Amino acid sequence: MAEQSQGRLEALFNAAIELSPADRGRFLDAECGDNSQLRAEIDSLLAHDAGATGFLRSPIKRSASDSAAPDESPASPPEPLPATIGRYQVLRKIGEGGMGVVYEARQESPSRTVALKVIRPGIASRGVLRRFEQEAHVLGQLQHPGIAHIYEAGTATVAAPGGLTAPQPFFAMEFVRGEPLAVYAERQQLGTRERMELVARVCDAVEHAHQHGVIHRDLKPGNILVASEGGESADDSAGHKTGFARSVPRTGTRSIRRIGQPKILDFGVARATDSDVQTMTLQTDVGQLIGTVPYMSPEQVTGDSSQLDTRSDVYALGVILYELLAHRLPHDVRGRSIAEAARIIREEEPSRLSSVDTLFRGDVETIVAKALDKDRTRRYGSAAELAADIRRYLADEPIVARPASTFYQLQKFARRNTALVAGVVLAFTALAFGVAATTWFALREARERRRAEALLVETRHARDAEAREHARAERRFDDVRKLANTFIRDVYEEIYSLPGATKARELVIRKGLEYVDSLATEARGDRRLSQELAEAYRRLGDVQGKAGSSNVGDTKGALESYQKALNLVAQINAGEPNSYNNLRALATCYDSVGLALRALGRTTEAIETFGKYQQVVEQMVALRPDDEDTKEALARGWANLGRMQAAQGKLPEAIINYEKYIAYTAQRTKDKPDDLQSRLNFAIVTLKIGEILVAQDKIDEGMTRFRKALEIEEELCKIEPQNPSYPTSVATTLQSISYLLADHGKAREALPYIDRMRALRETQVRSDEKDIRAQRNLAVVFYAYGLAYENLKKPQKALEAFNEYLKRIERVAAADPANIVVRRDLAIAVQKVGASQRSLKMWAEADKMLAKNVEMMEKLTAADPADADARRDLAIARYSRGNLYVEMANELEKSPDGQRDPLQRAVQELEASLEISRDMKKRGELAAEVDQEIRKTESAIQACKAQLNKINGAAPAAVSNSGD
Amino acid sequence: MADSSLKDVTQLLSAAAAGDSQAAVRLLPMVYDELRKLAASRMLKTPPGQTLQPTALVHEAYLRVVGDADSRFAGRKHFFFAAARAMRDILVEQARRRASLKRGGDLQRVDFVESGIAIEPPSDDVVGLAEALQKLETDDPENAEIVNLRYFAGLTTEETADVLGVSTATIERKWRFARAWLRRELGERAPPSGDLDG
Repeated sequence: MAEQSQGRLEALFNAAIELSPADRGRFLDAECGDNSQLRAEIDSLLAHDAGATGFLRSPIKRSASDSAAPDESPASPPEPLPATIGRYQVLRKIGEGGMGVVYEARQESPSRTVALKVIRPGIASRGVLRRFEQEAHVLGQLQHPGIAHIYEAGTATVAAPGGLTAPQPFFAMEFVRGEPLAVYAERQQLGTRERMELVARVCDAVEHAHQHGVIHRDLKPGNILVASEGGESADDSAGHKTGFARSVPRTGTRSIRRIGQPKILDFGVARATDSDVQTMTLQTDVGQLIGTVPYMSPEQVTGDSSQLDTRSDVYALGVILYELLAHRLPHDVRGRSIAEAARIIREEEPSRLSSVDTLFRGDVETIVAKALDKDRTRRYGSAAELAADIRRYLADEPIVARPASTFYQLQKFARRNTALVAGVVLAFTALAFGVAATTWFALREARERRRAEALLVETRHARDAEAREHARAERRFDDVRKLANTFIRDVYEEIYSLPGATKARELVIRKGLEYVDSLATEARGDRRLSQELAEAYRRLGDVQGKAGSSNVGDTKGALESYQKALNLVAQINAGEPNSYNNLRALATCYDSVGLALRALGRTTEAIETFGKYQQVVEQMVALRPDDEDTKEALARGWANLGRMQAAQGKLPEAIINYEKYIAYTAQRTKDKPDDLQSRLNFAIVTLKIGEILVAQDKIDEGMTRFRKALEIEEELCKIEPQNPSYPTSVATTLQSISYLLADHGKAREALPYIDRMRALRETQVRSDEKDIRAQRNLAVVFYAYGLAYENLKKPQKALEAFNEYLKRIERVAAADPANIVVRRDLAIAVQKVGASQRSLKMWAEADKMLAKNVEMMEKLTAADPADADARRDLAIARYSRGNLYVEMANELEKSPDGQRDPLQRAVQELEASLEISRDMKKRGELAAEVDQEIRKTESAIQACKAQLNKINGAAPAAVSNSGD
Repeated sequence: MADSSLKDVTQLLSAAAAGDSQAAVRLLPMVYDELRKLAASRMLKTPPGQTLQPTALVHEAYLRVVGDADSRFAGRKHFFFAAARAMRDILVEQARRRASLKRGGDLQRVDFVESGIAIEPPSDDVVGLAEALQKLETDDPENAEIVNLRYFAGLTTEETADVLGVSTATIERKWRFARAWLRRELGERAPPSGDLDG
């Protein structure tokens, strides 16, 4: 049957298209007769006759002359003005862009002038159109005096000559009478403060939209009109006036004269039609793109739409502010290729505002720079924050933004360079594609449709469900949410303290996260969901790589998760400041991010983060000084501070802060004896103080602390035998004790401690194969054995142990290469293996190992110049290599000439080591240790030089003694 | 390696032209592989950001398989049939992969990175189109074949007429009908949802 009717259909169709519309009707009446089904079929086919549209144009790019079908002629005559579109009476065409045509039109009821933006038609399926309307509905909810209101969006059949056309999507929006932002500012001769307030008002409007989950993505001065003095939109209403009054700045801005209300056009249109950089490049002409590129954020020109968020709009606001103040763009991309323009935006720092006019030096410049930061995590978190800082400036209050430190800027440069290859390639491909695509101009219409469809797929779930089965969707929403929370809270907490559950914890969190995430994309802007999502991310971070806890060894992933949590919480907090719970959550996030940064060796950033933590805690103190959580947060701050000071080698300061923390936990233990965590923390920090004391050469005091820590931890093990954190801590303490004994002539006593530590850690690895931290800790046991044997003068056994250590650490490093502790482990293992080989006179092997060690430590030091430990290890690495050459020389005692070369190399290495130690002394790092190191190295150099002089038969030369 | 598979394709083409229906069936995967390989090797030489033209690929594959000389080769028809389908599969695959990248069904650049191959994507909804075409294939195989050749292999009206052995006027007429049919089909069916955001 099908084929039969198909053939008939085709014949009728072919005949009908040859006829004029009038003849067509008569012809079909005659042919179809009573067969209404056939008639309907043929009518619908004729309605879908592709005609001049781009549908199914072949994907081939051929020269125009090659274009085959006669109905594919790309040149279509200019369309005459349609009389009406939907219920709007078209008055005149205002503009035309890649996306469609804008008309000024008249609406009868309510009577008003509207701007009618008609999206170019492609073929639009009903589903597409429906979703388009739903999307528009969301946009319609944006009601702000700073946003041109979208009255209606829908589809209308535009009456055009030549028969029917498919329904075209359109937006009817508030018709704004005003002039573009920059023009207004110039004509009104606005001063700096007025210009800033103007931008702050734009921020207010943008913030409103962000609160509704709508990102503009195409903010530029041309999209912002200012209704000149009092004259507002065509349907000037009371509502607007109220809105206007509300946005009048606070008292501090008294000097600002009344300025017009800026109105943003096309809000959400970019989103509803998905005109982003990658689609823009595909679908709009280059001229239009160039007008837009300077306002695009680095993440936008990269073309990664998943990276786009409200902070991309913040960036655009920064560009607008810059432009209004400086009368030029931060990046001059005129006359550049698009790829080049993208590169400039991604990589080049804009010229500082103060270089345009020194008037802007200080706060103004700092505000603009923060909005324009390449790293969106360092930008203002929201348009509201930017507006708030602008107004703080206008009110002569201190602003929140801080100028970036030189070090940070350097780091930023370094980071940019690593990302350079990928970034440039991506930007280039995305954009070069666009250039090629402009030759495809004729295909635009069909592409528009595809673009609209892509967007609609994005919001399909939420919108469809809402429209059709609202109630059911809500039920499902709640179910999923409950399920997610069961995973994230209940199940997770249930298994948290079980041994061997690391991987399970990760799975549980990921699963829960998946659910919450799916909900969160549906309900953007829902505060409670954001909170749940943040919590899920924080817990995911914990299991990925929380320092000092079982984790799967993905420290980098942990940082990312923590940062996501932080961003969410910061947004919530910005939305309702002075909420104690928000602040507490924010503090926890900063704490986690700081620790992860520290674990990744990004010491400076970690210190900055802990600084922010401190600021948040101060706000907590202000709100509820006596709350237990406040005290805890405060104490944690001391511990973090101590940790960072210890890392920077500021040992006495570190002890002071640790002691403050200890005092807190002691008090807490007294108040709440069954708070075992507090007691554990007491033990952990006691151990840390002990370690610092040992580093300061206060051996006995250190040992006393170690024993105290061990005592508490063993007690905890008895109270709660199934909790794996306690044996972990016991093992850590045993480790410190055994190192101390081995290093101080009591290696034999150290061995039983090491055996115990090994047993504990083997149990842990067995219970959870996926716990990378447990694997690492077990590896370290072999270091301890090596150290003990080394001191017992059993080099062969030491070498075996160190080799085992190296082997195991290499496995761990493969799993978590970014972790600074693991990287240092690796360096130490290499150094120890090399040193043992040296004692065994395996010269060649030792030389190779020790050279590798120096190289590794150099990399570590370069990666984190603020890390004192790494620097000390580099000094040791060089010293160790120098030592190798000394021993090689000693071996050649009988042939003095042969000694010359190794001795010279020894001096070279030792002097390099000495230089590093002196540098550390200058920086005030690890004072006690460094002095000893310097003395040791100096005497070694002296000995080498003396021997060299002896060989050369010259008088002994004085060694440089500048290292007092 | 490549040469041996080329030889296989040539043999299959000859067999198909001689009426071996099995050969015609086996041709598709061979041509498919050939096109993918060709695309991959071309991609290496293509400056970043540029894409390969389906037409160019198909024609180049033809030259590689059949050679320049024999433009009246009887296997020609089978080659283009197979190539059109193979290209359709490749484009659908590419479109699906792209659509599956969360939140950005249109991020062409990711394809460069991930697969190393990027073929100029058609402007239309390829996935939906391919589904509609399957329906047309059962109702009206001849028209479906014309769409395959014109659209996916990128043959001109003349080339299509040549391959199918009919007049260009016929192709033009049928092409117009098929387009209207597909357009209606795409317009009226539910949006291509299920597999687009997978």
